[in-house]
Amino acid sequence: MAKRRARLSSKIDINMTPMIDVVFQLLTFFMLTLKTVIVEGDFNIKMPLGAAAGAAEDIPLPPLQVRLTATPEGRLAGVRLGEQPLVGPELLGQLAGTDAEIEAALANAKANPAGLAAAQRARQSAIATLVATLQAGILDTFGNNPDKAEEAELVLDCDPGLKYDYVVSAITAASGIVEGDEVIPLIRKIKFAPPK
Amino acid sequence: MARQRRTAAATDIDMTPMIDVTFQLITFFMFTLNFTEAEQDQRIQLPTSQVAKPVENSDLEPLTLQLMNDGRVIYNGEAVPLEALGDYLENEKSVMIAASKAPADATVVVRADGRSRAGDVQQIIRDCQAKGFEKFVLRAEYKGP
Repeated sequence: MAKRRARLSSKIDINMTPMIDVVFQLLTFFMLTLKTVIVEGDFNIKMPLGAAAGAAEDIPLPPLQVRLTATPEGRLAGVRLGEQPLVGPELLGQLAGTDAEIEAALANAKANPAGLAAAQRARQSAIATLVATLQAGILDTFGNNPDKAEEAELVLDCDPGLKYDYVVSAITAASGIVEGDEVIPLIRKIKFAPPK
Repeated sequence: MARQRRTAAATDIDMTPMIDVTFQLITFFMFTLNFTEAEQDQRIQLPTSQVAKPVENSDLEPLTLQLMNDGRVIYNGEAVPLEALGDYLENEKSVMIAASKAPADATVVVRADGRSRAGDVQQIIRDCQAKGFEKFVLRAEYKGP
């Protein structure tokens, strides 16, 4: 009787080892395939073919022209809104300086990772200043009324050699104002000027 | 004899909490597994922006073109020179027409590196326009205020 009971109780004791092996295999697999996903966002750009002439009629305001010029290295050389220059030489110099710093820090990234992080932070703040300056200029043309801007159209005219970073900064400045957690939309229709 | 038995019982650890935790971890890592990572090539450093709208998952499958720093375009996972992109797009267009979809309805997602040339991005857009694509989306990394 005693013998029988002992056998019964040992039968319930399942061997966990293979299951735990498999479970840990799975766990390691999922852990190693984990990649931190950066949050991405979109800017809509509508560029239908041949609509440039016809579409202009139903837009109440003439399109805003933003011209971005570039130095031979692809740095920002100047910003003009219509005919009026927007960005002063100090900011342009600061932007070019952070550009050069990042390039130097990238070449030296293995030896000095903190330097790269600092260069990127300086870059971020310079870009933020650029965006703020551009935005102030754009808002000025609409009499500081964001509602008016929503109807408008923006044409970006960039030098082909310009770094794409600056183009995105200009689009950022034109498409919305960040206020706390909210974004007030500005110009919805953004397109590129045809090449000359 | 009885004493030996007690030590044997002591080595028998209760596995239940550990297995609970392990399964929790597995479920966590399973759900965070990202299947769209093929479209997020690590070679590309997107420019950052505070106002980029979060990516909407539309039912139409977008055509993703990723422009690298060196001017090559990643199309369907392979790097092709910008000059050759037109041929690949022609292919894409005929596949779409065969599936009775118009290129004008498709969205072209441009993921360009922040250090690439603006002219190259415009060239991609022009190449797409030449094949009848009309909706474009420029992707940027969202960086909150």
